[in-house]
Amino acid sequence: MCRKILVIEDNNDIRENTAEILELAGFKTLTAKNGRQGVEVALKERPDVVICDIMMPELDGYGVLRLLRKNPGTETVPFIFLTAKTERSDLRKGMEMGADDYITKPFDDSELLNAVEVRLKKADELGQKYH
Amino acid sequence: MPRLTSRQSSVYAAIAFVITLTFSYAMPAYPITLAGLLVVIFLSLFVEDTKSTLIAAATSIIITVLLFWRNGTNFTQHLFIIFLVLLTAAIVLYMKLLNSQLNFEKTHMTALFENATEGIILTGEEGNIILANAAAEKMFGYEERMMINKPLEILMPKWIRDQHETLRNTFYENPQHRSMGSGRDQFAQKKSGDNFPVEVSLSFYYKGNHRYVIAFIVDITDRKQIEESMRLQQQQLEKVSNEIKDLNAELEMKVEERTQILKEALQKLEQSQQELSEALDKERELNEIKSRFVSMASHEFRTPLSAVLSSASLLTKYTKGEDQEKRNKHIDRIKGAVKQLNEILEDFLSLGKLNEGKVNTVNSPFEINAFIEETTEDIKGLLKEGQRIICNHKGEYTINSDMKLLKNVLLNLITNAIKFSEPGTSIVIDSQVGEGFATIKITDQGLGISKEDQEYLFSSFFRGANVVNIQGSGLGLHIVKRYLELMVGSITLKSRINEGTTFTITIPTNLKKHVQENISN
Repeated sequence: MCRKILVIEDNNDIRENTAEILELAGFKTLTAKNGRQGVEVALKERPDVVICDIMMPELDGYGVLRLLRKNPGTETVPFIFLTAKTERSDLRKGMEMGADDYITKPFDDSELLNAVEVRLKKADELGQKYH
Repeated sequence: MPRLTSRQSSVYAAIAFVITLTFSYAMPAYPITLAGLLVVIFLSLFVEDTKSTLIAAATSIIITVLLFWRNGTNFTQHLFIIFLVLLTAAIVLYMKLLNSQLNFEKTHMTALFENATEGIILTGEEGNIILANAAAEKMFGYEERMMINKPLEILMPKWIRDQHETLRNTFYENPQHRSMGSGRDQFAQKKSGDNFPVEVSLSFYYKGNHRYVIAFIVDITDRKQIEESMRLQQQQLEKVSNEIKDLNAELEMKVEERTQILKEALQKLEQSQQELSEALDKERELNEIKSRFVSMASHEFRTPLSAVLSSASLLTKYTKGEDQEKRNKHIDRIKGAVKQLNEILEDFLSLGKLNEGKVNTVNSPFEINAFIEETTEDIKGLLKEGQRIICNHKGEYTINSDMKLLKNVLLNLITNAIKFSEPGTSIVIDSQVGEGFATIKITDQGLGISKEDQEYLFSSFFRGANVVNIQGSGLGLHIVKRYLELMVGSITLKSRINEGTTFTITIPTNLKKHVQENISN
């Protein structure tokens, strides 16, 4: 089964590169260039993993996470922050809000892929337990 | 005229009795009895007490009765004698009463004169001393009665004597009572020649045609001394008071001086406090810049770095010959990211130079309209699809300013206008050279800047809330402002969100002249 990954990122280069890395690894990708759009896509497409920037126009990454966690359809979706905010306080804030991982820019492709795979595996295990 | 003593008069009275009795007895034919008795009674005048007169009268009556008893005749005659004796005694008694009264007054007057503590001197018309009391004699150092008949002038010091005669004559011409203290204090001379201060009052009276002048003289040596000492004391007091005044003035001056020093110290304190607070503000500002720098660096450095890293990773994935297009795309992305990083670095370097004061202005003449067009030509490559730049110019062309700095300013502002506007919009540059100043307006139809952000727009690392996603160091406008300060210019802006922004810069048409004028002013 082909997994769907949503990339929410305002910078064109980063968004496209991230999507490209994931596609080359065999994932199906969805992209959104701001938070609001990201939430819309997530609710509609029900991705398996969400990779999201923090500093974005319209709605920032924290807002996206909050909205997705509130929504019954997306409340358990694995959520990975991919951000230039490297302060420990930023990281803690993201984790405390319920993010599953926190990757700081600039990132290595293997770092990103590992994080995505770990999240998917974890989700699979949880799914088997409950079904 | 010498007076009879009471003893003498008693003796005379007894003799008169005896003679009267003897003659009356021996020669009764002569009526001597009455005369003798009356003499006796009159003699009692010289005895002061009334007793003697009463005794004389009583004795006379007894003698008369005895004579009548012996002769036995002439009753009427004897009765008449008794009547006369009584009458005479009454007269004598009355005279004695008068005399005693007179004596009383005289004694007191004399006592008044003799015992007065003031010197009293009586002078006659010629200015001779007629009377002087004991106090006067003592005062002037003369022995008893030694002043009498001497001219009054002997009691005066030499320097008054000559004019005193004239003074005396004027006094006589228009005599007036002059009371003590009303005249000025005078000096008198003792017999020994010593002078001493006196106070003199004058009065006068007439006796017959003669005029007498009474002078009351008080020795005021003690008073003068007291006055002198009082004067001295007063002087001393004045001196002390003056000293106190001086001291006070000095003190006040000192207080003023100290107050001034205090004021200065306070001012210094205030100044240092202000400096401290300024330093603190600067420190705070620096801290804020630092934290803003961290946040900016985080985002603005890491984003292009991410692009570089991810594109590099992807490049390794495209190994086949037909992937060349993809490889080129990623190489371009890497190039673009590096360019962005370079721009940020340039901004940093500019700011560093500015902060170190290494940026100097170079004044040179150039035509501003041509200069603007040249600059826009350089930047045309950045224009988005459909964007265009329109240049308008009014007024003179040549100005004197720093070309390099102005170019930087224009590049920054035009780049911003391009960067923050959508494709297909126009950017209008209006330049104008006026009296002493040149203005350049750059108007875009871009995102605009909110009111809140406008306030901080020119501080370093500040970025508008609506442009966080657009690349930028947050240094551009700060550097523009700093450059314009160097060029003695200024920058203002008008902006509305989603409608566009107009930046207006104003610079002097002759930078060098302007700077010199500013310095001389």
